[in-house]
Amino acid sequence: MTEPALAFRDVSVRYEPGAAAILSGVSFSVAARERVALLGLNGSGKTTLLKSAVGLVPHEGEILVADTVVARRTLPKIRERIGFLFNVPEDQLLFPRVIDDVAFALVRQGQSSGEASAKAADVLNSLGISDLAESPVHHLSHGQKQRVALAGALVAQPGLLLLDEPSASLDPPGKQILARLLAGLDAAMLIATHDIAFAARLCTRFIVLEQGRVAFDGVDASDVLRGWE
Amino acid sequence: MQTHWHDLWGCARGPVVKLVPQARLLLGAVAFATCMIAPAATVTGGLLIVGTVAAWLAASRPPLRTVASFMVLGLLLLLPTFLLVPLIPPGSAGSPGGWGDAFLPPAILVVRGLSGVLISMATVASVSASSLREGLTRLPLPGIVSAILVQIVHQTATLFYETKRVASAMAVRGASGSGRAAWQILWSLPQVWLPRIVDRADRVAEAMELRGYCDGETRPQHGGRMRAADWAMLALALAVLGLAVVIRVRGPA
Repeated sequence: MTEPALAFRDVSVRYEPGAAAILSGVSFSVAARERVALLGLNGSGKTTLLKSAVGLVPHEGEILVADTVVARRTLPKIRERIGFLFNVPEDQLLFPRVIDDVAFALVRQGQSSGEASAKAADVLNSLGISDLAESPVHHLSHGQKQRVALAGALVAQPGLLLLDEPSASLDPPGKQILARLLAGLDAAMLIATHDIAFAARLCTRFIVLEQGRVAFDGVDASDVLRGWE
Repeated sequence: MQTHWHDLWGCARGPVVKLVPQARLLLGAVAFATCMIAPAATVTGGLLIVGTVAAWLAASRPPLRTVASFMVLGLLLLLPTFLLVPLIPPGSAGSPGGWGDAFLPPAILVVRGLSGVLISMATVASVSASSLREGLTRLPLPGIVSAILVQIVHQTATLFYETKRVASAMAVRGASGSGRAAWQILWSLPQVWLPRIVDRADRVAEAMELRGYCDGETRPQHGGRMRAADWAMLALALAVLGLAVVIRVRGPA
């Protein structure tokens, strides 16, 4: 049996000692190449859960990425294995030109600028935004920034993708392209989203968070979703 | 002033843009230092400052409209220093008595300030936002320093555009009118705007950390090294800087 790509074992998160827990006793795992949707109402803890997996928020319990426990000393290694999309894509665009931003993860790995830019151009092409390669990021629309940020997360071909609202702000063709692209990847994915149709098209398993706890974990979330209506 | 933040970067079309980015940055820094060191109160020093500014503008050749805009901006910022003239006691500028001497300190401030504004603008115009990063990473600066400098420039642009969006929203929601609604919006702005900036700074810091922005070596490995023309221009600029130092040390003839 292969080890999971990501595992949460009785994980709780509170931002300050004594404060109310944002996540309580969360336990589940994501197998290699499995695509899991993380659903929940606003404030249910989806973003916090994703951030805890890359060590951006302190947690109790144990989180494993592949065979490595998430801890301060293991963070650089873990973060290299993960592609992460923030829910405000503008925040993670750190370079003024699109191609430089997308190529950064590869330059960081030691690839030459030319090689990294060529691979970045391929990813931009696969997302249908090759025409934006030379654009300043400030001139992009919100949806375009979303795709550029996603390209930056995908370019290093990580084994695990943690995506926070990846389909938000995308137009319908953009969502289709994204779903097709993600479905064709070998990586395991945990996708926090409110976009049920997008999740249903892409994911094979649904986890619903309610007030920081796992309320549902299965292949058919329709009962829970009906409860929201 | 209609010059937008991002449009200013790399808008110059002069011969200096053929130099490698790090040489352009160094030349701008040396020209700036020359203007700050040359004694602005002497004829020779004044000519050296004016000559340096003119030469740097000619070499980088930003659009005339941009030069004019920044000249107006510099004068608007600096000319009010002359309002201090009545408060300056005669002889405080180092020479005895008279109203003429009282005008000297603000005049020096205006000359130095305006030369600094124009040289900084021309330097910014001579490097694009991407070549700024390349230039900084090739200079012998600690990686963290160049990374943070680039990020300051980048995030300033982000805030600039966000401020424009907020201004548009304010206008639409009544701040451009008069009366109570306008005051309510203007009054609540700092309470909304400041936490928003702090939150954004936190989120950007998280993204920088996660993407390994300040870790390890991301210096470009190939190309972009200083060539003979770059070294020659730098030597010329350093010679002018040396002249400014000599004039300053020797004092007025």
